[in-house]
Amino acid sequence: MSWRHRARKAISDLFHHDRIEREMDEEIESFLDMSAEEQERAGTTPREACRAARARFGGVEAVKEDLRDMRVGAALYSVARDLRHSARFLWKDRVFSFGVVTILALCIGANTAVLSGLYSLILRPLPVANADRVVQLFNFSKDAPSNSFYSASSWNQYRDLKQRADLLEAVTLRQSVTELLTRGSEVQLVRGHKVTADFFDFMGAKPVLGRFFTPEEADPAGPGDVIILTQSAWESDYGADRGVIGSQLRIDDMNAGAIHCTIIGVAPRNLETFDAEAKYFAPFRFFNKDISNPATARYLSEIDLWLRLREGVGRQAALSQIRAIERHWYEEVADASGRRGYERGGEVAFDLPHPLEKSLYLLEAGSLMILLACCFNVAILVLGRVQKRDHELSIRSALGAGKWTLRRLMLVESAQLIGAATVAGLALACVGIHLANQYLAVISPKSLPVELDSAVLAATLVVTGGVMIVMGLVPFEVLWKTGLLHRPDNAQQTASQGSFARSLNDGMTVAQIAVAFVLVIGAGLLVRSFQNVIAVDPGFAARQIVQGRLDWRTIYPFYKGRTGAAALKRRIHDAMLEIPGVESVGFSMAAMLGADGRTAIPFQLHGEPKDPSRLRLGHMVSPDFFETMGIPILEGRGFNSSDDINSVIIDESFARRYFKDRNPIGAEMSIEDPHPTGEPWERIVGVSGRANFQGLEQRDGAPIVYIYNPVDHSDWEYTIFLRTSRPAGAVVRDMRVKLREIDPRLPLSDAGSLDEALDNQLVARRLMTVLLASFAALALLLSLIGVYAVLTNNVLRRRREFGIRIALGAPRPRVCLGILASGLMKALVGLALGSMGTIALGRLLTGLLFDVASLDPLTYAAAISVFLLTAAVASALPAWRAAAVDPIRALRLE
Amino acid sequence: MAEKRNDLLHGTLNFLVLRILRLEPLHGYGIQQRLSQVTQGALDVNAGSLFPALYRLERQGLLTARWRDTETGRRAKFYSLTAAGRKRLKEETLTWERASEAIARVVAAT
Repeated sequence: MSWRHRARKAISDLFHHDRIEREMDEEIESFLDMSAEEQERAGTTPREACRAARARFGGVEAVKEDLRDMRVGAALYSVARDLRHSARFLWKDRVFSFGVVTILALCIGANTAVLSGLYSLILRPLPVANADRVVQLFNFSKDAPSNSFYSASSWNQYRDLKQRADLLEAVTLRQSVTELLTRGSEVQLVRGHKVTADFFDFMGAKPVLGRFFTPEEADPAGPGDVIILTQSAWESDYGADRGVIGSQLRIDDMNAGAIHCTIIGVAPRNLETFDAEAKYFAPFRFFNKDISNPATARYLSEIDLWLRLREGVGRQAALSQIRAIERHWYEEVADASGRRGYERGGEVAFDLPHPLEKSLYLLEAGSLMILLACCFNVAILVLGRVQKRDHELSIRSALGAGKWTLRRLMLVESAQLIGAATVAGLALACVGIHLANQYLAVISPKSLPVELDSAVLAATLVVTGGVMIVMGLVPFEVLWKTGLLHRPDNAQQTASQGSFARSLNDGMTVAQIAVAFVLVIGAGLLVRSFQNVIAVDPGFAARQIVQGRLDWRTIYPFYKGRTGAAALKRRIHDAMLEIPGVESVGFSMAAMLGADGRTAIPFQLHGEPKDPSRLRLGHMVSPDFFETMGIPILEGRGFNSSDDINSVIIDESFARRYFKDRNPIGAEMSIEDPHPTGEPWERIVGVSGRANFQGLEQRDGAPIVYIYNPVDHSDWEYTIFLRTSRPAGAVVRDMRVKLREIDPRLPLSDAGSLDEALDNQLVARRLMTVLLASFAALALLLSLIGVYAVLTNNVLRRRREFGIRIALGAPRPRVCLGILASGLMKALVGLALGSMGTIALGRLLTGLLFDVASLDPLTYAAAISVFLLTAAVASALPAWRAAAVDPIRALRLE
Repeated sequence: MAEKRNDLLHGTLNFLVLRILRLEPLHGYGIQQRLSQVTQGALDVNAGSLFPALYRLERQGLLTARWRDTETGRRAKFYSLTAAGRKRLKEETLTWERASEAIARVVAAT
């Protein structure tokens, strides 16, 4: 039979199903009648003849089942019938169905969302050709501890590696810049990339429109008058106009002044991974006159180097070659040119962990544990339901439904549940991802938004498919194996017959409690850590301070050098004081509460031996800074007009750590290590309170040295702090008005209250804590449901036993206590198993806990009591039911 | 029920059914009776084997079925050979003869 014939037949069979079914019945009926007639002729009564005919025929329904299975397209039809049938069944058992779908949807949603985050931010391969051989280079100093890395590199290092590191196949350079972009009359301060000519080739990128740089256009000593837009900028700023090629833009840069650039292309979206906010790519330019001079700055600029190793070259081999090149430069060139005091390098590493990596892996582990607990839970519920239905199933089996037919029925049922749960779960995941992206914009502004990637979707579907098969078949196979389904009279099965199913149930309950316990301990420790973090005193009057950052280097060329810049700063200072309600104004060079952490560096105390493990942070601040911030001066004095740039104030933690009992006032130090020869030493004039600008979690972080920086110093970037009791929003508006009056091009960023900024530093921790706590709550709820379901099931099956015991005089409270005890016993075994799991958890939590030991007794005590209470609550109703068994009714069931 | 099926017959049953239908169209019960008569009760094919065989042959296009009245006025589904069925029967008869001849020789020789 040709496939065409077969297909036609299958379709016609489907449509004429009823007729075919009728004909089959009729045919068999007529067979039986003829057979009976024959018997009758032989002399039996009609009734007897009919019976004999049927007996001779065998199982009518079984034959029909066989014939149905033979039909073309029979499987399709049976599935459709099973679907209808199981939908009816699931609807009848609404509480069960709704519960299972909800539980599964929550788990699928949580897992998909967390995995999406992990994949988008960490696991997704770089948008690069041969991503497995591509690494980013990080420099650090061998004098400093290995956690102080610099992604800073330079043209100098790029050129050196390109020429000398023959284990590398390619090297490319990318610099992050913030520049003033003028398009017609519109002026914007935007972030962009400056790249070398080999960048696009290295990344394996193809232009969306136009073309990329030629080597001549990207010559670092050339005019750099071409520009490539990112796809997002092209779409948002130019409405994806294809005629954009050839139009002009002006870039104002501190070093080069105004450059009129021609747009030559649009870069693909995957290159936005490097910085989601950057809008363009321009040629990297090197402004030192002698472009091949090896003694220029090497580890100082905001430059990333990306390397592609040759095929077959190991990372260690490449690292040691680069290390040798760096050491050579550091020891030969840097020493000879006197750069050594400024540069901190010589050691190299590849690919540092993402700041969110630990939290994301913790959440991934948490969501997988939830999935595990959920699977156990659903298995318990499904097993319970199948056991309740064993009567129906065994009747079906007796009527000729083969093992495969029953299997198909089970699978169809679980497919319906899982299908509904997957749809709901994916919808939940989308909502979750959308919410998480709003936080991500605060936590890690340069990251691209998380999206539901097709790889993650595929993984989710594979897992749910697996869960579907396991959920559908395992409980059925278990019951089939124990023989429960073969006997049509098993309605009065005894307790012992279900013992395998029961121990499986008990095992799953215990495992579920163990998983939940690990999660609850993890969440408990994180909650305690969070409480401890927010209890830390920031050390400054966060509520009464409004900050705003100015970085006007892009318009620096308009301000005639140092005197102009100093005058501008003074004008800004005075204008800020004019804002109503502003009590004082302080300046600091660095963005103190920004998202990007600053690195602690070594220093030297005069007359003391060098100790490279001693580190400090440094902030250049104006004299009014301490008063504005509300940071107390504990010893000595604050800055005043008699100070110069060699006056420093150390904070309490510096004094405690490096001076112990000695009086630091008047001591001399060098904020650099080694101390630059011929320069005067800095003098300590005061000791201030500890202020945790790096975040409350940095309470025990590196001590701070404040360096005197007068208002009249010529800077082009600083953070302005205003002390005020007015609401932050209003003050920020006034700040903008005042700045616009001075120069409309002055770009104010990161404006808002310090309270808010402190809060933003906690977003990642809060999010992680809340998510893990919800996972733990869900796991706890699942344990409650699991214990309840298993015990209820047990009580139902053992009703006869309880009836007999009660009839024989067992006191009802004892029966009741027995069930309670079995619930508590499960909890205790689960907790014991879970305790082992918490040891593994401790490793995941290292670095995430704050002022809490991973074996915190309070957390453990609380978690254990919560679980015992949960188990008691879950056992109470089944226990009461067991005790309430009426012996007469229970025994009549026989 | 599965174990009642006579697997020995599985391959030969198709052949026997075709052979019986060579003479005239018959309904299921008729085929069963005829088989039993011809073999003098040696081959009692039960319905659980017969119906699947009929359905299979019909699906393969070797048989065609039509509803007709029997002599006693009962409606029944009558099966008859198609052209393809006749051709198959010819082939299978040849094969069968050759095989049984060979077996007979072996039996005679040993």
